Amino acid sequence: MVYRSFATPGRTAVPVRAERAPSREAEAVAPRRAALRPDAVGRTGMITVLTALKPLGASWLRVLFALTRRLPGLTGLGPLESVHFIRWSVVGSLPYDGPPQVRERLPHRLLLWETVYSAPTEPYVETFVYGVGDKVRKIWCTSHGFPGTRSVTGLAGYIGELSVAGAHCWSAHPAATVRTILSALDVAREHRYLVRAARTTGPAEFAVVYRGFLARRQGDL
Amino acid sequence: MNATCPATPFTVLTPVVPGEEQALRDALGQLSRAGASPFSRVAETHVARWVLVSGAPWRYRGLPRRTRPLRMQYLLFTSTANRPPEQHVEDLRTGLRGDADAAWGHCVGYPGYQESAGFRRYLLHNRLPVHRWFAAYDATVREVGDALDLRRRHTEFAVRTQDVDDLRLQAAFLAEFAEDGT
Repeated sequence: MVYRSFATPGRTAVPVRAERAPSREAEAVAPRRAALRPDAVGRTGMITVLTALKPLGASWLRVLFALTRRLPGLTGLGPLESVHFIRWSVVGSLPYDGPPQVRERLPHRLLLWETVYSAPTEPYVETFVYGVGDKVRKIWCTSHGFPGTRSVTGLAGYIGELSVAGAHCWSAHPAATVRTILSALDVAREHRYLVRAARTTGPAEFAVVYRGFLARRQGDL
Repeated sequence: MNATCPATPFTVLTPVVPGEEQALRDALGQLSRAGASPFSRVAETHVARWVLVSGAPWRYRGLPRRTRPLRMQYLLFTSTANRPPEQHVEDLRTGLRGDADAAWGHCVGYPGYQESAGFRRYLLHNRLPVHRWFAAYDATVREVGDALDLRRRHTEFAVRTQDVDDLRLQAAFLAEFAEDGT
């Protein structure tokens, strides 16, 4: 297995890398050897991956996605606290807009996966492997070439080779991690009660309320 | 209408006019170098990106050899906003303005941002369904921004008041935060 280095979203915004332009058809279909380099906007990393689905993969995914829509807990991603957003789409056909577009059929149904996250990339993939490996496996076992979730290097290599670079990316909160945002929202929820207590109670009582807040929220500040 | 809703994904795939692929790459590169992204003008949008899809990006070891590359190149647009899709499309039109034309203007059938109905019809026609979706939070962009600012102020306040007595603590709290909350 080839060792791969991982880029980590930095603190400052950097221009995203340009899309590779295949010059020949042969190059276009050749397996790639790109390292996993997410697009980074501040501390926000973004990865887009297109995988080819096996013949019954799309049907399995529709059942699985319908199930997890009804029972979101099955997705199991909430506790990760490093993921802002994830989307999965099964792409069976391409939109047609008339000439000069060429009508074309996809050789396979595709799974489009896009993740927006805030963590160094390697620990992020590790979290997928060790934290929610079984859930990831249930989705991606439908794709050709999926190496499983036993090896971080194997999964990172798979994602790295199949990821498509962004041409322009933007995040409203590039400096904030998911953990920071969740903490801030928790603090904001308690804040209104603190303000009310400050207005309606005496100094001693307010001090008890405020120090209770600090004790509960010290990890969020 | 300025309704917000839980964070909602929006995905659009549009074919690039043959021969204009490089011009599109250049235009998107220019947007990235221009400083403030035009998406900062689009209401209630958490993240947005344009991705160029070409060749056979799904190609990998183990895939049957019969796979063939795409004959066209496609522009993939993804965003997450606290808006229903129809409203988000209008936000994109009024927020991006000429920058929408700089990108989608290289795509087949794009009518231009000045044609409101056509713009809406075009993006919704080329929309891809999102079958599964996860969001860590449903707060709006403004709520997140306000919460981050509040958290910073609380942190500074806690440091500043760690040695004061109860009376001064309450007075300082009211001076700092009385204008906030109810």
